[in-house]
Amino acid sequence: MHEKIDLLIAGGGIAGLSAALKARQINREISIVVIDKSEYPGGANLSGAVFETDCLSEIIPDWNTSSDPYLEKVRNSRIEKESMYFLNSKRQIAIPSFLLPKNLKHKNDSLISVSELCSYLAERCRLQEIGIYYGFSIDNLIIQNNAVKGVRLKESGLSSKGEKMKNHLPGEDVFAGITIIADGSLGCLSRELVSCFSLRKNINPQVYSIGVKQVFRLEKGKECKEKKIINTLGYPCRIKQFGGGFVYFRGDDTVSVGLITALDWPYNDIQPQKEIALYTSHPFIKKLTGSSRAVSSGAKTIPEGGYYSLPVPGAHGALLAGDAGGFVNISKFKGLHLAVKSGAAAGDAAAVILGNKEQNNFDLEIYKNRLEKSGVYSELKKAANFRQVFNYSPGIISGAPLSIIQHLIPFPLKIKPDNKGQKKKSCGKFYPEYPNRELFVSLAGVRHREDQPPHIELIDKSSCEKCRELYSSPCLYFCPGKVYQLEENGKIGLSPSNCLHDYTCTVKCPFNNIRWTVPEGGDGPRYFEM
Amino acid sequence: MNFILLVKEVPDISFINELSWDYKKGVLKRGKIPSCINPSDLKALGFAKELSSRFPGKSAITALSMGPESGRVSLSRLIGMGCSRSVLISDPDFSGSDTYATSYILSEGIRKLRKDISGGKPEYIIISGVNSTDGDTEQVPPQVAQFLDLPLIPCASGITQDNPPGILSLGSSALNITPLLGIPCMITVSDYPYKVYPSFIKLRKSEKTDPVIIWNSDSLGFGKKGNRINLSKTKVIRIYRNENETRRKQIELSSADEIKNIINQEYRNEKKTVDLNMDCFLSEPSDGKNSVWVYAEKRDDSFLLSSRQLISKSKVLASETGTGLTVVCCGASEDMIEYLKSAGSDRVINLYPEPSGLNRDRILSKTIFEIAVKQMPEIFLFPSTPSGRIIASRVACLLKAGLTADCTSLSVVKYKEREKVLVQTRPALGGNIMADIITRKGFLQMATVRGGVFPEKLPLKPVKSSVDHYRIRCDYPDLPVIKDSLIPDELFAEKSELIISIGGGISSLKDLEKYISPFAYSLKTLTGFIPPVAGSRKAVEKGLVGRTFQVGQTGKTVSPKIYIAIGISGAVQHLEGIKGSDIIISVNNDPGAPIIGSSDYYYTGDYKKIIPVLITLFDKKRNEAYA
Repeated sequence: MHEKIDLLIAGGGIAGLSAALKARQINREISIVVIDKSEYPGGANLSGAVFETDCLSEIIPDWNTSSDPYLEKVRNSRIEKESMYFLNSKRQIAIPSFLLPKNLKHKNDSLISVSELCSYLAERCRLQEIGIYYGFSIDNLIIQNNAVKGVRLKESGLSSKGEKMKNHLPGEDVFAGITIIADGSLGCLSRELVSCFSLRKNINPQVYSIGVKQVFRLEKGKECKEKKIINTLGYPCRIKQFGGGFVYFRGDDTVSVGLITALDWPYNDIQPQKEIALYTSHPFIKKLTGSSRAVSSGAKTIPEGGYYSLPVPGAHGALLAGDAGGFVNISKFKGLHLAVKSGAAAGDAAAVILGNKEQNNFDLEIYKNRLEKSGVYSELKKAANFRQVFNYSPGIISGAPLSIIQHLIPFPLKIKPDNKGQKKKSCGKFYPEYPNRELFVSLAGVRHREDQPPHIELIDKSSCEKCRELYSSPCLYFCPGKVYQLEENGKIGLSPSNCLHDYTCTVKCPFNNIRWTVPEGGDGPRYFEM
Repeated sequence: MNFILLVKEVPDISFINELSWDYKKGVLKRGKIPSCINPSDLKALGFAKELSSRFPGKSAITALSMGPESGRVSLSRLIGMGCSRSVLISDPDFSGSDTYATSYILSEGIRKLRKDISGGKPEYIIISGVNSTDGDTEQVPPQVAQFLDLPLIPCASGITQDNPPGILSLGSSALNITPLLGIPCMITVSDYPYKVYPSFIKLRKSEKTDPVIIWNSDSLGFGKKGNRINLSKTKVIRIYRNENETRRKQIELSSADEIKNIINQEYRNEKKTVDLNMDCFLSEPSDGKNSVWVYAEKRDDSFLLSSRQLISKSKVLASETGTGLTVVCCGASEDMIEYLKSAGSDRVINLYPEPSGLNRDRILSKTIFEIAVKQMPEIFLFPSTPSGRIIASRVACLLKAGLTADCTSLSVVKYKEREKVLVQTRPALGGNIMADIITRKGFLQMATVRGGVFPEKLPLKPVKSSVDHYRIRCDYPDLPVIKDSLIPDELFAEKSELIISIGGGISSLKDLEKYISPFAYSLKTLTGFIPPVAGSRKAVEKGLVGRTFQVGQTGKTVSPKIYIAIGISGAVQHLEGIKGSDIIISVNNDPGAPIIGSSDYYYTGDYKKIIPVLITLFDKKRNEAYA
């Protein structure tokens, strides 16, 4: 019989590592293990990285006074200047600060790198005898007697046809008292948990945005000392499209540019990475970035449905934390602090449950209480109808004033899944040739072992034909990694090794015809200073 | 059988990008780059695992590494991957060791280890990756082999099903199979297709018991801390960024003539147009000692271009230091010796008869040592070909000389109180940084030099030269080597200076045989060898080239002088693997193919029309050369 771990955390992002640190704080005796598919801490983590730092006190009580160089750096990364603009295709209009609601002001926040925060937290975990295992993919949950008992790791060393090769390693079972699932937005395990235990009992489905980010290196001599953020609304988003852009100067020689767009667009030919190319070629953004070159890029989905789209945050033996649990406050366009808070709440609850000597005492209410206590629920409740009002108004401009009073709406507004509004209609934008998707994928550092069973499959080929007729195959465009390509014979061909692990396809395919399983450990994007 | 696996923890160079550089200081932000186990050592582990399963009885793999104590984490990971234990040689005294010192310390470690594991009995095989990604010198394994006086099976890539198992390896001129008869030896692994996956359960167990053994200077018998003399023979005097501009020129070519001219011109041209001033040849009087030495490597009956280029450069260096040039070669014909005379050699040492077999490098090294130790040259240069590197490494051990691998620039300068010091410049960390290295005072200055860096130039006036023929006497009991097929080591795509690569545009094996193979053959008139044909993922999937010749992010990373891409669309995965090429020439019938954006020169059109013309153009040149 193999060792049974007390607390297993699936996903070594901000939420997972926060959970580990918090659990260790509460209980020094239990064994804690974090498993992540990425090769290094932070390798697959992406965020705009405006960070409400106060939540750090949940996991590092002395973070505000500690002399640790990294924590000092976080404290010294306060945003010094912020501004908001509305863009049309040629100009910008400044939105005066007094018109902005409080949730869009970031005065006391810090501008950080989420990859760097991850590696810091992982190192901190190691020092506290928390087992940190990167490069292991988790295939699925082990569910026995209606309870989660652990996870099964991905079998590795299979050929593309599925034959066992010389280096074959069977999938190992890892048993645990409690499993915290923090595998991010649309992660395979959280989806498995939600569907196996029917956790989506709420009124709304989860809806998503895709966030695309590029880091540029400013030219020599043009470094920006000031830590300033510029948020924009409008261009290149279409009138009915929920979204916005940002340009963040981190006070060094880099600037990050990002664009967040709701995935419910009806057009069949929007290309997220071309959208950001349009954005960066806007005269206003162009002036900010100068002729600097992109050095890093990435894309991820953001669960933005808010309070009414939250699944039940766990099932017997398992807790959901971070993006996996839908904890993102879209009214602030921020989720990092909720990842820390929900992670810490899950770690806290798990440690308490494990500390309780009685058998079969798993009680989800403990976790819910912790979420309530740390303010996660109350923050989300305040923005409960935020995302929805934009779909109930004719455009983002008219949605904005509504969004300020949305919390007064006493009942939940409904929203449809992202792929329900698909039409055969072009967005009508002329995309620039450069940068192309090849460059984008390359800057995301994506790599997969080629000769393994494809981790992306089309479930039913005939649906693809139907989709081609009805909507001209939007997957050829919406995937930021160009996984889906049209072959000479008119069929859809797959290049799974381009995949950025952004999971856009799993929600955007009009026929839900895409099966995404986790590839071998260590495969995927490798983000750098994101 | 006991296996000792040499491993190194290195910075993961795939993480080095624009953001890793501190522009102001001109250095890499080392702290931002994660560490990993050297990729080719991981291949070596896979190889060792398969090999150990082929020996009857108990087999165990011991990992041996040298480096800072932080390497403990990586080493315990190896236990999760199938090693039975890990030994880390770690001592602050050892930091900054060059390859000579590293090899010496590792060989002492192996001596201690073999006492432990086999009671001193010669029942062990040392396995190592062929190179490390940070230093990329390929010197440590042959030097360890030399310190332990072992034969070396270089560049192994597979194991045969025979009993005892045979090692498939690329020798100097053939694909060799060396049966392992229980004689201790060193095997360097260049390619092994199966990745080793760590087992979570084993890893977890190993981390809980912390089985990594740490040895320091004292436990190896080097004396107490701080008391030790400096073992290193070289030192780095400057590290700076490699400012090579990688933006591609994207010049369109419109005819076969133009393509031919570009291939000719670019292949002969050196990277940075360093010209050699041949006037200096006879201006400085020679001291008569001829103390700049060069080893010239031949194939068939002529010297390789890289050796010829090196001779020209060495002649200039000899003049600059006020001495003459000695060229050491083996089995040279009369014509070849004439060439050496015309190239400015003041003295030629021709070794004969030419040895062969697995111990070729050992015999040559020992013989060169015997000659050199009596005459003590000041500078000794080798071409950095696969066998040149091994011989140079072994000779450096025997002569206790400093050796710098893969130099791209050599200059003689005044350094502190020393009048004429050879500054050896080489790229490191996957070409991301450049380092200036000098040999410490009192030691012979040795270096291996990349081909294509210097031009081949003959002096204006011939020099008087003497020729010594030296009979090779030493011999070693040889392992029987079966030569499988004659494959030039240039086939090792990673190292070739010219690579032809094909993609999905080549539709069948028939087309490959009709167009591409003859094209490769016709290029031999230029290069002296048949360039390897590699391919993109699509070509591999079509079965046109083997998976070991797949170029790209997930295949091989290549950096030839010229990369000729035929029918390759230029998917990003492929482009990642060819970034380091000096010149990329593409032939594609799709004017919108992404490869064009990554080409220096491109031709838009059907390869089936242009390649036959190119073949006749290159063949015509051959006819002229023979006329």
